Amino acid sequence: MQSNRFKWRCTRWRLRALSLSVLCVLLTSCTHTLTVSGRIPTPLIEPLPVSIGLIRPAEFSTHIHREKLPRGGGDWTIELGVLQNAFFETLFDALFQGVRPVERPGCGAGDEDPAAGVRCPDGFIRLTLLEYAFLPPELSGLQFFSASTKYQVELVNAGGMVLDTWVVVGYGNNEGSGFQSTDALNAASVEAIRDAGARIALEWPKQGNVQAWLDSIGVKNDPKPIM
Amino acid sequence: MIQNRLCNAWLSWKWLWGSGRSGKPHGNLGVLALSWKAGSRLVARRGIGTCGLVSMVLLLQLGGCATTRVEQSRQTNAVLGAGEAMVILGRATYNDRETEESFTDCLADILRQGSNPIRLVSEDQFKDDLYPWFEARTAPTNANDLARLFAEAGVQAQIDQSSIRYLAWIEGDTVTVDKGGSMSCAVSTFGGGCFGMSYWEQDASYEASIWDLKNLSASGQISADANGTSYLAGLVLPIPILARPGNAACKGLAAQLRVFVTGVDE
Repeated sequence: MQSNRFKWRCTRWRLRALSLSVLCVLLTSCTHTLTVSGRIPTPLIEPLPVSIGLIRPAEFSTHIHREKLPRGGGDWTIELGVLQNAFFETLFDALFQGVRPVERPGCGAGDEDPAAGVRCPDGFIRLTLLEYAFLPPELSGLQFFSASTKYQVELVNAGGMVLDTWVVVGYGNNEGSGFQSTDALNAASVEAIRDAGARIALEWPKQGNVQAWLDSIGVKNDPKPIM
Repeated sequence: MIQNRLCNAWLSWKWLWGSGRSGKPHGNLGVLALSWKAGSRLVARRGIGTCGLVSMVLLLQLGGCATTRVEQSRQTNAVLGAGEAMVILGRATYNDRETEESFTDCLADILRQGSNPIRLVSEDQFKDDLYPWFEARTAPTNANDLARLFAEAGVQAQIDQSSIRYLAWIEGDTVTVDKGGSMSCAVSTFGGGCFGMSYWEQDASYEASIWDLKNLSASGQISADANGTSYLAGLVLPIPILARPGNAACKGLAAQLRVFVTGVDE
């Protein structure tokens, strides 16, 4: 009799522990945190023979996207800044012969040192992340995560005048749902950054105003059609 | 054209049944492997009877098979030389009919193995090495663009360094074309079970376009179509009988791709 009562108590405790575990799993499944990470390729392109000053807002390298999705999609915190910052540093290093990170366009007396070969950049590029968005399969009805990045590339001369403004949208997707959701979203986000980077590398130098700027500083750029 | 009927290895499946490898029955339910012979012995020993046996045989006959059709057209007779490699790329279409990454992975896994393995450069490595030329929106869409791409600085050198001879673009997907039936499962403190029957028919259609990076031309195409109907029978325990046409198309396409680029069968 006592043995049966003991067994029943054990079973009850086990059920309580099980319920608690299930509750914990359900609670944690509603919050997703992701630090976007991935490989950073070195572009295989011929650099333009110009030097630029690269301007990025302070939040570019620390950008965190926070979103609460409807219909029980959960709370998402996506740290995008570190990867995109490293990615575009590599991209612009390959795209131009000289790249210098600067805070604002223009050159002061202390910015140039002809003896050391440091001269004012030929132009300035201000790169801004305008928007990051993503869509899980539960909301899109598709079988994959989608992500998009919208960047604004501004070409500015040393006097601070904006010569060209170009907005580019990168897109990426990746199969995955359920327990693989963060991995799939990471891959989709990396693909979106890569897509935007590829378009900047191949399409930006072909923009009319950019061509005019290159001509004005004596750089011959022969735009080739994209595949 | 090659037509093939590929059935899943039902007999090697892990089967939910109260039996061990030897077919000796146990009291508890467990997930254990049951071979065909062991299964037969079990049926005989337990005295499941003619009805049970007929049901089992019927279930086996009902489905689990996918019919594959592989077709090939070839423009050149060149094959992979010593040390030369191939790369398999999934064509991105940015819609819900995009080629699954799992399909290109399946192809790569098969081609890397066997008695006649092919040296493959991974898709990720290839795209990184040639960034930004093979991204979804910048990749060449036909072989005629190859000459223009190879004129870009460093592209030819990078391909030569990796000794990549062939590039296979994979397009296609697997779709469910029909489904029906119904099955319901219930669980209570006294146990549970599933009753009913559901089925779904899938159609897998893929095409590989093979480009010769040495001659900068298209070498040919291989297409693989497979279809099959899968069943899920609820006889207390849910018994899946899966046709897996995507897997069948992968095997068919991989086998033909191997012959195409090496000139030798498995």
